[in-house]
Amino acid sequence: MMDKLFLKDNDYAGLLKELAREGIVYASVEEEGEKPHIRLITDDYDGQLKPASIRAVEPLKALLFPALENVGAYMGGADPGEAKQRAFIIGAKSCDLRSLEILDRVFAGGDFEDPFYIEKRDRLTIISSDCTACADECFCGLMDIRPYPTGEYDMNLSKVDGGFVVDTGSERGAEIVSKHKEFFSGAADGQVEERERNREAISLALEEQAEGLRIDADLRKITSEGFEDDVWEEEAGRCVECGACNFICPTCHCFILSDHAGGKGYERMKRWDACQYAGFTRVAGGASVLQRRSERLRNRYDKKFIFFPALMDRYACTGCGRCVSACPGKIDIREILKVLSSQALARRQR
Amino acid sequence: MNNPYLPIAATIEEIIEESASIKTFVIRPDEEIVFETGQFVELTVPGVGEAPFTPSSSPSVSERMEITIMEAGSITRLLHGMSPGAKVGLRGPYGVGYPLEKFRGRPVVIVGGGVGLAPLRSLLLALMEEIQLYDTIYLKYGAKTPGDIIYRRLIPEWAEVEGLDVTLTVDGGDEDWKGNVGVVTTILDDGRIDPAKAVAVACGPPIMMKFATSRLLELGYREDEIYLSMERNMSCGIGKCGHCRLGEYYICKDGPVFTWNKIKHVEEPFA
Repeated sequence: MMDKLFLKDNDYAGLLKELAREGIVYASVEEEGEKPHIRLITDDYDGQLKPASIRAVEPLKALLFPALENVGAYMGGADPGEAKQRAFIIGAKSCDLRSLEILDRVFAGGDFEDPFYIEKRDRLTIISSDCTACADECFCGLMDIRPYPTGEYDMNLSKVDGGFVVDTGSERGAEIVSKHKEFFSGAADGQVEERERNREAISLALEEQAEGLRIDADLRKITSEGFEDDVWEEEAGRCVECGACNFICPTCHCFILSDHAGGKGYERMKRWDACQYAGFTRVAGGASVLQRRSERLRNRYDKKFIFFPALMDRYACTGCGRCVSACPGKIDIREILKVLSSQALARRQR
Repeated sequence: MNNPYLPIAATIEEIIEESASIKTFVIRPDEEIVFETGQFVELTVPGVGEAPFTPSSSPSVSERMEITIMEAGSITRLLHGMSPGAKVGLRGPYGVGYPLEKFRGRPVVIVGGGVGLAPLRSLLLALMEEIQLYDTIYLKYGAKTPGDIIYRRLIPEWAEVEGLDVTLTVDGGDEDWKGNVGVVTTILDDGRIDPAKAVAVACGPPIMMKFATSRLLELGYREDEIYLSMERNMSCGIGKCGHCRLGEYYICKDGPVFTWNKIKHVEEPFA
């Protein structure tokens, strides 16, 4: 195993701009007073390149499973030109990495593979980083996720005084180091210890924040048992069917194929769809299994806490809290889980 | 690149009117499509979109495919407006076919309602091609009125086939109708069939599926021997897009046919 490396604060922007000569660089950037956003970094980027303290507003899925994507032409149309450039994402957080496990299972697993996802995934180098703060909505701990990456990255950056402790997690990560030796030096033991202290502190902060959100039981169990609970009807009363929770969710993967005339033939598009939309399960003739908003709200939880754990032993929720921030009806996943949990507890005590 | 989202071009060769709202399309794809009976395809109206259908023709014919379609929504309306020679697209086959090897040596009870007979016709043709391998095949088919019965041109031939027993019923008859009147569940009780030994295969509208399943269970058919065609909105057909979820399954990937024991825990499976 390679010794820990160190990247100075002053070299962070330089490294990003170097990488921008090798491919497309997306970085999660936190500008003064703003939430972190994923920005396209070019070698003449003149904004601040402050590394993000928490996950970006945008989910990572947007880079691999775009909101709207041309998946090809048929019966005479022209095939979409494909960008084959390498891409980098800098500042992905631990919760973002978990979301990729879910998306990989959906698009690269099973009997059929989605070549569009796989091709983008193969081209993407992931440089993740530890969280140095937690947003009010963060609850990753509840989903068994640490606020710092524990794997699934090519390179990870942990903020310490004056720079970053650098880990490489793959050949690709190691290549970045060997290709850009000038930016990296050995990390001192003190810096590694500082990183460990930071990790403990942020974990503690998250735990304190989650105090009062003690979910008592297995989420799979409370979601199945709470199928008939009033909470769905009550919470769905504030749903305006905007689909924001679905679109902002890093693991929501539903899409719909739609066709149009294009070129000399026809083109097919793959576009994000939302299970909170009334038409999501509507069939020809008008019938729909998820007719009520409450049924559609419940569907989202069913999928995340029952379906995916059965499929791959993972909750399809990363505790990122994006849906909490995005919902205009203030529907809060933490509150719903709390209600289900306390109902489960009450049932047990009866 | 092996692109699972694109159809291959196909030509409608013939259109057969089955009833006022149901037509059978005889389609020749540019490349042969080999399917197992029970699997489905996505049929594209170019530039508009696609919808899933189970072929109604024999799986032993791969250069032409017949699909019987009821006019029910936007894609089917456009299909019904087409004429022979029109171009469409086909993608598939998808899903899992009927496990015919498990049906061997046993009575096979095929229960159809309305246009639900369409996919069952493919099964029936597959069974008829090796009919000596099975015990008697019982076709029990119900339609709203005599005019809604599909494959009227074929049913008399089927009735002549040795080893195949055909019973029809209509919800409401007319002055010429001499047969059974009543929903399809009323013709399932048949003294000649030993439910403990038989397999039942059902396809029809949700309400019929619900009552047919209850009736078959009452009669003593085994939960894992009742094969049900399930229906949900579907887009990709390959287990990615999330639309056709039924409990822990996707209908497109794990179905479209499920035995009752696999889905009985799902809330309102026939909704």
